[in-house]
Amino acid sequence: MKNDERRVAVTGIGLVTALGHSESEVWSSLLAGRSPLRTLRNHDYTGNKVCSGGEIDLAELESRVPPALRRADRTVKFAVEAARQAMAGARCLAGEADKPEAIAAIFGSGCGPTETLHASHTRFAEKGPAGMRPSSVPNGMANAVSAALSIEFRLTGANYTVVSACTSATNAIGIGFRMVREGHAAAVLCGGTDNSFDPFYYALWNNLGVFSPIADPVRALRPFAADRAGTLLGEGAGALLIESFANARRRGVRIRGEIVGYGESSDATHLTGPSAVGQAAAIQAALRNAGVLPREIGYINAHGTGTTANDSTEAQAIRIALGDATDSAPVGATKSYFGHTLGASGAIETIGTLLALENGKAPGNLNLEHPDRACPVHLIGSAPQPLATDFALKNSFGFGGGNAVLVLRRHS
Amino acid sequence: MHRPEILQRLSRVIVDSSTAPPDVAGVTEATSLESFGVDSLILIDLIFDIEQEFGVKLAAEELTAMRVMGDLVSQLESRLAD
Repeated sequence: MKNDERRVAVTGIGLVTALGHSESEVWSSLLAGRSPLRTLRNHDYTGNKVCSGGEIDLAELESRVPPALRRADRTVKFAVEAARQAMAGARCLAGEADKPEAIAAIFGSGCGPTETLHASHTRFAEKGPAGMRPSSVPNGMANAVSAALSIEFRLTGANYTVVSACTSATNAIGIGFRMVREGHAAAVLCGGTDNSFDPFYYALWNNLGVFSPIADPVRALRPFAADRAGTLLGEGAGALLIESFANARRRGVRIRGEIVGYGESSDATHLTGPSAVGQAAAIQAALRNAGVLPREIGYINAHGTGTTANDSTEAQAIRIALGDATDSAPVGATKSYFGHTLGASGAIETIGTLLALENGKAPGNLNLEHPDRACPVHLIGSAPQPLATDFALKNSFGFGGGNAVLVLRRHS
Repeated sequence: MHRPEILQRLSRVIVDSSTAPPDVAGVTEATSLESFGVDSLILIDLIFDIEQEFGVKLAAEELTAMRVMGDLVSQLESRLAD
């Protein structure tokens, strides 16, 4: 057992999702098997082949945004609200007497400030360089996310945004984990955010061929099902405040779980096509880093996008990495509840995994009436399943061939 | 251009540029510019937006020296008359 200065505790969590904007709302919806995926309606999506996803109402978000951020990009607004919840839960908001010094802000985003970039592009097309607002650069840069967090919460540690597609948030959490464990930061605000439904950004996906064409949005995302037909996007943010166990105990804050290991790899084969060997390498690296054996893993929160390629490849990767222990590690995929939130998915789903460990229950797999036999893993059924385990994996695999895996531990 | 029209158009520009809650109807010539929460980054956007709306160039120092909307309306009224 590592000493408490090197163990990394999660002391704050925050969520902004189509399923809800608080952990209690999200958790109760996960247990109820409720999917919020819907026909998109915040903007005009005419011309897109698929117009469904995990969308958050415009007005719902605006009511939670501090006045100073009224003009910030939607991606930033998601991040700030999720971060506020995490900072409050960890007693790290301004004015708290014992908050850690120099908290870092390491956040992931796959798309960056899409609203701002779209608006800037429109101005450029209409008026050329003369029409560009002066703030186009600071509001449109990818690190606008981490910068806003640093400014809003007065975080004087390092701040930067990790941009690595679907692994962005998991990478960010992994970086934060290493910073705390190795003593480079007393605490890190980490997580991920993405606004997937800006009309210009969303249209980029129109001809890629990865979306599920199933008409009913609630039925469309079917991870590991034999009849799965593709994915749907989601939007939102997940935030975690992490610090050493020693710090958390000194401050007397509630510990929500522990990050015990992090592994990463690259497939180095294809921009979009996944590799089981590459993914397995990240899982194995995470287990070695955690000092946890495959047979100790009692729950896997899969990347599980619902595409033909991802789910079968991920299942093979799990079997390569866990070997015989595969059959005793139940696998759940929660993108049917949130949509694929891209750069936020790693954080939102890591929080879901921590809640599952904390509550001793894994959410059911939606739309899994017919599991794909070509996915040789132990899949959770449609109903929530009791968990009696201390350890779980969170897998994230992304375009570009990046793979990132966390090993999480229940705190008792 | 008369003062009421300048005020109305200017109010829309400032509310859109600033972080103040959108209440264009509530803005009068007595409204303080400070109430819009204009920091240095918003200021350069605001100057740009005023230029785009009215075709009038303003220097940052001119704007920061003003206290209420009426000051800005007067400046624009004068520039537009030139």
